[in-house]
Order: sequence, then structure tokens, then C-alpha cells
Amino acid sequence: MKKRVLSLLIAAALVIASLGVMGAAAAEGEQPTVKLLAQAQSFDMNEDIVAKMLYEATGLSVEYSNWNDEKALVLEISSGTEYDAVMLTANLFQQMKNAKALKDISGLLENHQDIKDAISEKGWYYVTEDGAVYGIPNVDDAVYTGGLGYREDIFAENDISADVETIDDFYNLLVEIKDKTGLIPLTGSSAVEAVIASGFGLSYDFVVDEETDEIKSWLRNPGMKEYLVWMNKVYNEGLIDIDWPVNNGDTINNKMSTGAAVMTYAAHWSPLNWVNALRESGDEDAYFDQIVPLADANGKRHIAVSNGVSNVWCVPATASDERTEYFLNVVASRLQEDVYWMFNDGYEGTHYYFDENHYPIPIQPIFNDDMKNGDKYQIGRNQYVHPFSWMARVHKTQVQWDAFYDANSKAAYYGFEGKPLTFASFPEYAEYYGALNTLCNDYFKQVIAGTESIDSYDDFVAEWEASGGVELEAAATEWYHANPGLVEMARESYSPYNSIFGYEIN
Amino acid sequence: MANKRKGAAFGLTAGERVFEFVNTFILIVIGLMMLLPFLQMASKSFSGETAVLTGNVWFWPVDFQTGTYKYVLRESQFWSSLKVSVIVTILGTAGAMIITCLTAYPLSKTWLYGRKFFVFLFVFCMLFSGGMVPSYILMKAIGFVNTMKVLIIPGMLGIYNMILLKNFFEEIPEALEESAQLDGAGSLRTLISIVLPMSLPAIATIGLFYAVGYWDNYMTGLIYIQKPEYKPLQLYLYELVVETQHVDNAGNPKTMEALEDAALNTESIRSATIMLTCVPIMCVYPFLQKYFVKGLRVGSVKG
Repeated sequence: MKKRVLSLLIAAALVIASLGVMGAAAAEGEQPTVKLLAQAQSFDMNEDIVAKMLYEATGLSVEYSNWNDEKALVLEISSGTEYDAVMLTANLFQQMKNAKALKDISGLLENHQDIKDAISEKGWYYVTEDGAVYGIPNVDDAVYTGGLGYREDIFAENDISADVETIDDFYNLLVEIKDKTGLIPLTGSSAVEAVIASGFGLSYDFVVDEETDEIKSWLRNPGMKEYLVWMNKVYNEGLIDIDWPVNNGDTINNKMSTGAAVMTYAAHWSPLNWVNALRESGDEDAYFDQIVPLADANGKRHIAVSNGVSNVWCVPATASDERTEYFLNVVASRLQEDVYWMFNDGYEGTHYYFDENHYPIPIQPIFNDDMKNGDKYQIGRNQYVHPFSWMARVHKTQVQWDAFYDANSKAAYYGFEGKPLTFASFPEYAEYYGALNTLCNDYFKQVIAGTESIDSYDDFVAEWEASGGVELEAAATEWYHANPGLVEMARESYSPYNSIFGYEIN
Repeated sequence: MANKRKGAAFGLTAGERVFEFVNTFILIVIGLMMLLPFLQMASKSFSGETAVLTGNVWFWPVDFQTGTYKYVLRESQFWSSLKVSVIVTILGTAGAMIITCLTAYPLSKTWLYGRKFFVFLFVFCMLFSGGMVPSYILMKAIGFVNTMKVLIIPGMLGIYNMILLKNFFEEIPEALEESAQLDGAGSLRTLISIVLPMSLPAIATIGLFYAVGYWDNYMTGLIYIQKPEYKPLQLYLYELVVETQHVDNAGNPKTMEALEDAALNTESIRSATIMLTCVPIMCVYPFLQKYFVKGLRVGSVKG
């Protein structure tokens, strides 16, 4: 009796299994749905119009889920996940790679020369270790987000020239603005205002010391002390906002939108709201232009850019080759030139058109309505198309485009400087960096506001060293010597906008 | 003390008057501290973008508009998350009340065999939990991850709430229950017909705790939910607000694309979303308040 039941069960299992095979055979030519786990979004990535456009164009079915919590994500991946690929931040990517939780896709990539060609070498370098490739990188092009935005209309009205090169020029500019307009010449809140600090030879908080070939903090640079003294001087003379140490995003927005201040740090997306507010309250000509970082004593301008790999799409170590192949098919489809244009910017003629420079110009409001979330669907960035297709996204309004173009064409002319520790992933970095950064910012602001004298600088450096500064510098240097390529890559100054905008100051 | 109070039956003593005054004053200040931020949020949600940006909005809308609400209500994720939150709150609260009552009632009986041991177990688990890693592995092993079950079932027994209810049950005179039992009622009948109706104030309070807890819970969703269709409303809100924090921390920017997108979602839109998220649960309160007042009166007459 038992035997009969058993044989019946096996027979049933076989029938079911063969049905499964038949089902699979019937669906041949159409690959199964690929399950992707992306970072959290405030919209449903499966319902967005871009998801539908992508399905129509590629015929590949994709189901998105989103992760929110890093710890939960690590648990999900390490406890055997159903997802075919996961989008990781650069930091998490390093952790997961070191924990051997990611699959080497180098072998499978051999059949996908199109994927290898589309993504820049920089990206591949970042995700490769000992010949093994651990993901599809989303490479950030070197783009300058912005310097000091100033009120072009006020400058013109008062015959003030924005043509400044050195820190002395800038000082004279502040005096001139104050004398002629009576407004706050410069508002802000940063302990280290990049445009000004550049005039003192400062770029990033940790840089490569060319003499010793070690990573050193900018506290070691004599320029830092000079910067703080200078900032304190202009603060005392009322040339920068009296609220500098206590300002925040809201108070700065408020001062720029009401016309109380003339200049502040402005990313290319910032001036739009200010211009709208100013025009609504009767300032018809309100407009912004950009001042880029000042030249230091050697005539060098330190223009910091976002430069690196922001995200990596990875395959969990437990995934089968078959499922990974399905995922790579999706990647390949999205990197195709026409598809890449389509999901980032929509359809030519419907969502955008090309102007005489062959820059894409969005057609509103349909571009904003349909393509708002397009960039979230990138899996790897097509190095040839991305810099161009992205121009439509920064051209949503003329104000934003002008700020973007102005900052980047100027910056392209002077050359960019990448952050050496962009890819830093060593334990001391996680342990000390944040606390030391806060320590510095607090002290700098106190010196700027005059509540702390610059005479205490050496004591402060000693306190900083005792709080982990020495350990961080040593660990950073050690990491740099072990990964010279990563630091070199991060410092690389090439930007696609160098060639697109043609090295010209407008 | 009692004599003094009797003497002041028709008027308050000077000390009491000062106390009343200070007490009222402090309560008003505390009340305003809760109310004003909410009022400003509401005003911002109905104000024009420029007015919000220039900091002109306080407690009354400036350049009144409802476009932000129309915008939020058009977002499909808002509706899908609202649906999840409503289902989770209703099923969760109902289930939680049943389980909590059924746990608290036996534990309120001093004659229950092993009562101390069980109470110890519960209190121990209230103070020490296994932590996130075992919880995640457990939820995944029993297939709860990425389902609505994970939002409802694990939160069904709040031990603190259970102990509150247990203490309330203990206050009910034993004689009442005995009389029911004399009439032939079993334990369940006694609980349903005698104990629960007498505990309405406690049940309303704890029900409100559970409902607000379920409604406001974003942490469970944050950890266990990856599929957009099971994302609760608070998680949606969390994501909206987190998006903008990338802008505020200019020193630590996320990707440029993320920053740009965040600039599109203005403060008015966020305020409107927050208002829409708060309103449904606020509507529940007046219905439960009835029971609070009734419960207090019942107590006073008997007392």
C-alpha cells in the first residue's frame, strides 16, 4: 500500500515537472521577468510611465522592488534572495564585495561586448578586482554643481564687475557690493566656502601631499589658517552675513528669495526658486550668474566636482548563471543608444527636440510629467550618450540651464579637481571621518564669528589629532598606497563637458 | 487636609487659585507647543510656493491654493500606500485587541497556575528582544517578508498594553464575575459579557494606542517591505522627507540627480502630504473620546 502511494506521488511529481518543462518551452524566446531591487523611491517603479515605455521598447519584463534599510538589505542578500540584481551605493558595494556576497560576472560579460563598450573604463576599473567583475557601475561624469551665484541684475545696475581672480579681488568686490547696494554682499553657512577657500589653495579636506606622497588633512596646509583669518576679518567688517554661523538652508533661501543678500553658494538647481520668488515680488530682471573658485597664489583654481561611481548594480553570489544572463540582457537593452535616450529623455519630437548646438531641449510640461523619474531606470550609464541626454534634465527651465552652462563652461576652462578619498573604504574612515568633520566645522565657524581666537589654532590641531586625526591620516595613506589606482581615478580631471562646451568662458 | 478642602467647597483657597493659574498656563503652553507646528504645517500646505520660500507663512495660509493637494492626490503611490495603511490599521488593531484581551484576562487571575512565570516571560521579552538579525531571518523563514502579514501580525501583542489591561482587569470586583458564573457563564462568556463592557475606557485607550502605533509605524515597512504595493503611508512619507534631506546637508550631497529631483518636491507639497497622512488617524480620536468620558463617569458614580 505504502509503495503504491509512493509511486503515485513520484508519478504525479513527474507529470507536474514535465508540465513545467512544457510551459517553459512554450515561453521560449521570451525571457522570464527579471527581479530588481533598487534603492528606495517615493514612487512605484513598476507603475511609472517610463517602466511601460521600456517594456514596449525592449519587450523585457522587469519587476522592481526597493530597499530602504542597509542592515535589512545585507540580511536579505546574505540569507539567499529572490532578486536577480541589487542596486548598491558605492560604500555598500565595497562591503558586500569584501564579504564575498557578490557574483563575479566577468565570464558572462564576455558575451556582452556591447555592455563593456558602453560603460567607461573608469567604471570597470572600480568594479574589478583580480580580474573578477562584481557589478555594473553607474559612473558619475565630472560635473561642477556650482560656485557662488550672484545677482547679475544688481551687478549690472550698480556697474559692478564679477571678473575676480584673486582673494584680494574678491575682497574688493565684497566692499564694492556693500558700498553701492547696502545689501548683504555674501550669505552662506559653510565653515569652508569652496570658492573662497580655493584662493588659499584649499580644495578637499584630505589631499595627496605631492612631496611625501601621503594623504594629509587640510589642517596641515598653511592656507587654512589664512582662510580662517580672512573670513573672520570680512565677518567683522560686515562684508558677509552676520548670521553666517547660524544660517541654514531655509534662512539662506529666505535671504536670496527676498533680495536681502546678493551672493551665496548656488548649485545649478538652486536659483530657479529664488528667481521665481523675486520676480513674483516685482523684481522683474532678477537673474543669477556664477563666480567659480578663486585662483590661489600659484594661479590655480581648485574646482571640486562630483566625480566617481555613485551606484553599482550587483548580482548576489547565490544567483544562477541563467538568471544572471537574463539580467545582463536587460542591462544591454538599456545601454543601447536609442533606448538610453528614450528612457532618460522620452521621444524626440514629443518630449524634447534638438537645438542648433544639438543640445536636447525638453518640451514642457510633458517632459516633466512623463520623464521626471527616467534616470532612476539607468543600469549602468552609456558614456557616449549620458552627458548629452542629461543636458535635457538640467534644461527643464532656462534659469537652471544658464546656471549649469555658466558654471560648467567656466569650470571646464580652468580644469576640475576630483576628491582623492571619493572611493575611501577603510574602517578608520567610517570610525573617525564624521566626528572629525563636525569638530572642524564647529571650530572653523567659531573662529569666523570671533568667539574663538585664531591663536588657538595649534591647540585645536592637537585636539583634532588626539580625536583620531592621526589615525585617519595614517590609515588613509596606507589605503592610498594599497589602492593607488582608485585615488588616481578619483582625482582625474576629465569631464565630458570639456569637449562639449569647448573650453570657453562665456 | 480634608477639613481644609471642605472649607473651600464654594471657593478656592489662594494657594489653589495660584496652582490653578500656573497649571492652566503650563497646560496651555504645552498645548500650543503641540498645536502651532501643526498649524504652520497646515498653513504651508495651503500657501503659495513663493510665500513659503520667503518665510512669510506663519499660522494662516498666504496666497491660498489647493494645487499641492491636487498634486499629492494624483500620485498613485499615495493611494496605494493609503490603502495598505488603512487595512493594516483596521486588521491590526482588531487582531491586537483580541489577542491582548485574551492574554491579559487569564493573567489577571491570581489563581492562575504559573501566573508569575508567564508574567515574567512577558516582561522579560518586553525588556530584551532578539534584535534585528534574528527577527529578519525569522520573518524571512516564515515567508512574511514583503507581505502585509509582516506589518500586522508581529505587532499584535504589545506587552506594555497587555500589562496595562491586565492591571485594569484586576481592579474589577471578583464578586461580579462570580455572580455571572453562578448564572452559568463560562470564562469566555464572563469575559465578553461582564469584564469587557466594564473595561471600555481601558479598551478605548489601548485601542487608540494600537491604532496610532499601527498607523505611525514606518520602521517595520522600512525593514521588511521592498515591494512598492505593500509600502505603508508613513514609509512613503519618510521617503519623501528623506529625499529632501540630501539638499539640506549641502556638505554631504547624494547624487546630483537625487538633489535635482528633491528640488522639484517643494515644501508645500511635503506639507500637504504630511497633512493628508495625519488626518485619517486624527479622525479616529473623537469617536474614541466618547468612551473616555463615558468610562470616567461610570467610575465616578460607582466610586
